[in-house]
Amino acid sequence: MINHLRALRADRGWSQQHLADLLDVSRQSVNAIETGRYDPSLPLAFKLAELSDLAIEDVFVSPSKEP
Amino acid sequence: MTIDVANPRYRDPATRRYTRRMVGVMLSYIVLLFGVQRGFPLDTMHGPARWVLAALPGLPIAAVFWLIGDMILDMRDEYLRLLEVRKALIATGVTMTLVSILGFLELLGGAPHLPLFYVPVLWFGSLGVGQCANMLIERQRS
Repeated sequence: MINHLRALRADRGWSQQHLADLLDVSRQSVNAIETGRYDPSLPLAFKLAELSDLAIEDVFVSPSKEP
Repeated sequence: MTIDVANPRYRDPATRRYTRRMVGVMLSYIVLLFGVQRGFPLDTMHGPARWVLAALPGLPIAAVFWLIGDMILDMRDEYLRLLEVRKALIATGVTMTLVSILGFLELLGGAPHLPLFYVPVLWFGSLGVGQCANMLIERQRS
């Protein structure tokens, strides 16, 4: 699933490790989500969006709307 | 079993618990194995008492599978859990493939008998294959 995680992190000045600590997951997980290797569960996706004060669809692109 | 070599800061509580329990299980395996072998005249014993004693060292090995399953269920990091599940599935596939072929080699090919004890050993070894597969798959996708 396409996502805007890299841009979101860059805007906030967060490293992958910092975001991983906030989410209580490994840096590997953040990297896997960011690079599209892994689609997170809904609870984790919501946690990510809430941490960023964004709606979930502002972080993740619906597969039906992918170019 | 190493879970997250890339990030030494993150250690899932489930893997910590697994490591602690694993030490206990391995110690009990050593105690039971040497205790049964050295404490009882198994060669001269017969019947259920011998069977029970002979089966005892197998229990900690069986416990390892329960510990791995328990760890997978308890892992908080869902991506690392996925990697562990895939690793275990690959190990199971490799082991079943090898023992299926070996079984027919024994039955039809005149190959020497492989004691069943080696099946879990093979599975543990196959976890290494699963780990390599995980690395390759993840590298390919990135």
